[in-house]
Amino acid sequence: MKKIITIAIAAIFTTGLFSQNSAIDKFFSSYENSADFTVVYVSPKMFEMVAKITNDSKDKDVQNIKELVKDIKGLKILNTKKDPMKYYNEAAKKLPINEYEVLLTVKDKGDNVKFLTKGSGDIVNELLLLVGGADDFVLMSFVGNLDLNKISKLATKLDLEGAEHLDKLKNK
Amino acid sequence: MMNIKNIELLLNKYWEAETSIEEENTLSVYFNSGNVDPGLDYAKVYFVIPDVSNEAIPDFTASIMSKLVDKYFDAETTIEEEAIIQQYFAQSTVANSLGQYKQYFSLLERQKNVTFNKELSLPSTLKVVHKSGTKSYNFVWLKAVAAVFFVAVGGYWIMNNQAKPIEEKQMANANYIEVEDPELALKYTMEALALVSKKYKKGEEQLLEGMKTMNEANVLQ
Repeated sequence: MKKIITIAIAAIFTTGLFSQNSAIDKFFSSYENSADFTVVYVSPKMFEMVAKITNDSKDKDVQNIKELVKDIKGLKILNTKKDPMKYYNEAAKKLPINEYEVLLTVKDKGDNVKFLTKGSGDIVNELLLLVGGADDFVLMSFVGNLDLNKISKLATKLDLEGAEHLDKLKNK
Repeated sequence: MMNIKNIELLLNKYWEAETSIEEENTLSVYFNSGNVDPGLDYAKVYFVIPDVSNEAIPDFTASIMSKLVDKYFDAETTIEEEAIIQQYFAQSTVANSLGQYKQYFSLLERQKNVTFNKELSLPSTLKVVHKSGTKSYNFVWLKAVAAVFFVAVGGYWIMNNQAKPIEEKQMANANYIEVEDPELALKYTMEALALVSKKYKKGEEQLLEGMKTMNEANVLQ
């Protein structure tokens, strides 16, 4: 009888651990129901499979990002075209910015861009990209063991063709 | 038979309050005799005591009670008034007009005194030793423990899974894409990285530009 009770109590407390959500997850899930938002979620499991594809692929662009994709464990994208600045400000307020390090702040043709990282040194656990402009609000969250040097190199390698793809995604 | 004239004389004396008790008795006998001269009928009421034994005395209690009962059903009675009503209907007989309420009030009175007489007991031990010497678990206790356990676990589970319905809604939202195709996942990742690279590049450019301007400013100085 004692054993059963002990096991039951242990089970109760472990289920509690699974329900823990990070602030980012909460922020994402608060918009998941809204029809105005597009939410893309790529799971760690999926990234294992993506890594396999990138190894086999001969595509130049894929080869370029191969090294980086290997280190990504999860990707979340939140995008809306409605009231982008409003949501940009909301995100800046709601997200636990103080837990992150501001890597870069850019003003690009009316777009406010913030790169935020979590972790120490060149290897970060999370990279947040926050874009808010007249047309778009984008929040991206990369998790994994991301090497900032690789991202910096990627910036020089990848041409802007990719960005057009993203525009197509947004138009969906 | 008494002379009418004599009676008239006695009456006049009576009005003057000069009659003796005997004379008054005589008058009383005459008027009660039932054979009264019509001319003297007017004085009859003074000497004939009406017979009231068969007349009903109005039931004041009943009329008061009826008013109280009306007040009671309008929920306007005070506690004292309700006590009076209770007391009244506790009698074995009540006025006919109030008979319909008797059952109601006596039921109330009876319900007041209802008590639970059965003895309740929980077995005090988890294990039971029968007279034969065999031991067994007391199922009342086991059930109680199991019930508490399931309620606790169930409650906890529900609390932790309140987000579940929201997740189901997400599936209904066409804009929520959980990527399940690796090729598509790669595509999204590349597109995401492309945006990162584009903005990162812009940031670096701005940084360089800023440094250039500062350098020029320094040169001017």
